[in-house]
Amino acid sequence: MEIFTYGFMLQALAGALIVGVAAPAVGVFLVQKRMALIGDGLGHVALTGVAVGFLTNTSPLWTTLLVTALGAVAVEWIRGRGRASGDVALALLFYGGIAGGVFVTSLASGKTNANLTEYLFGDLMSTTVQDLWVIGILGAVVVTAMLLLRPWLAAICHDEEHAVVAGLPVRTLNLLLAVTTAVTVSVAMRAVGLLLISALLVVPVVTAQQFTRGFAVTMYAAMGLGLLSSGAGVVTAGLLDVPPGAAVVLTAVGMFVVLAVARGVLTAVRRRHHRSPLGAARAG
Amino acid sequence: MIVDVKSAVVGYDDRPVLRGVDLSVEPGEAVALLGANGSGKSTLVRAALGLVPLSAGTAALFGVPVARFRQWRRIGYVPQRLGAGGGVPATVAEVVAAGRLAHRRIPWPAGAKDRRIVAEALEAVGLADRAGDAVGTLSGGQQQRVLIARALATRPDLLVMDEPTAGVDAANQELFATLLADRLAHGCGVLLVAHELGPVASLIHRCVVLSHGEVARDVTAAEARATRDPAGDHPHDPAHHHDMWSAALWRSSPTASCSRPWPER
Repeated sequence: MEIFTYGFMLQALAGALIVGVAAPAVGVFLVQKRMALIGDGLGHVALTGVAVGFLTNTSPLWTTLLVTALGAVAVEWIRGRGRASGDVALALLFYGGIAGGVFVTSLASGKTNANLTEYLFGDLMSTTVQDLWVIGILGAVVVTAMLLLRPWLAAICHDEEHAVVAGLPVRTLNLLLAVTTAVTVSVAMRAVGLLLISALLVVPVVTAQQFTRGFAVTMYAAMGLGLLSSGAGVVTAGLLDVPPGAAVVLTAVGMFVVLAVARGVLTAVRRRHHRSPLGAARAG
Repeated sequence: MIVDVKSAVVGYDDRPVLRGVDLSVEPGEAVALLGANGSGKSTLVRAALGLVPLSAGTAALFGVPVARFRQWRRIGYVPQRLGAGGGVPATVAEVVAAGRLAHRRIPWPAGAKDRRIVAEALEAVGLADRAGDAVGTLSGGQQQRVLIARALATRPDLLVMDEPTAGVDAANQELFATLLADRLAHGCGVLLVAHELGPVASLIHRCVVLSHGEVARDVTAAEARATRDPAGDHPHDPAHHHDMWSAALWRSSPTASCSRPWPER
């Protein structure tokens, strides 16, 4: 634990914790909307954003924010307007994003010695105090918006048609969710890397929903699990000197596996209980 | 007139689904929309609600063209089934509470009144004791009751229901008929897409039969009683004949409408 006496390590931990709470708060809506992979798609687009930052010599966070937000709006537009399905839009994002990133980075190669790797896999340890402020503010905005808008966003993600007949501003809410996802991806890329962002959006949610009965509870539990896995992941990374992004995601996946097995065992036990005469009488 | 569709034409990919259909519902009137699969029933309902664009004709709700209609809180929509979504669970109470969103201001939390109305709606469909359960663990009939409760929680002046009794057992259909009778007595209009009418047959005032995207019959229950086979297009289908016999039981006069369908909204 000695390593946490270093400022950079604490900053890394704080950044990871914020991302850990914020990502599942958005992810729960994406999972319900069957757009679990949009985070991945936007992560790929973010690569182009980072490259634009290299090219223009501006902070990659802001260019990424801009480019992913545009990408998110474009996907929403394609989904809403055309008859193209969600995964066709995603495919365009994936390949366009990577190709754009590689292309623009090579254009910028004379200008900078920065490389894409630290964004692909995350570079949490280099989090500065200034970065932390940005992550903190954006993370707070994301979490607040998702908590306040939960009933409305849940309604559009659950049954968009019913939401239209209920008179909800469906298009606005969809755009808001898309842009919030883009913000989350841009903020989280430092912590877990663009290739692993989707894991933090999705894995805590699917872990939580194995044991929950309600939407709100799932959301809170997922945020808790996100916090737990990013905290445990960063500590593990600090102790073992491994990349924090990978440690965070592995912790999250580990929690899923442990809880899935626990649930399987519980279900089997319950079923046996129900099959016994006493259980059957109670069930009937 | 609370639903007023005139000469509606809808086509998907140049294939006409509705070819100039008229449909109207008055306050306190129950209209059943009948027809074979693919006759355009669901499309007509969706067009009346503005969910599918019309390529010709007009659709109005409460006298306002559907594109400019904003009083969505007056409409309770019961879709055919509960969407599964991406698998995030929701409790029965959470689903029913979505019926209050039309009344709530973003982003203010639900008030005591919203919670009371949700509780009443759950009580009305007999699911108060399941409020905290995951909706996915309920039977098909119970899920249908959840959707009806969600529509009731909106406190609508018009209930639009897409096959609300499909696959629902007799006990649930009786409950549904009771709820429907209560709403009609309070002046709520009802538009019901149905395959078979079952226990609600006696509540229906008018019956519109669609066939190949056109209105084959638009008859009052009295006329239906006089006609042996109002559908006409299924002369050899015994199951259909059975329905038509139950049609003979239809009541004729619309329930006297009441000016205030709900004590509060």
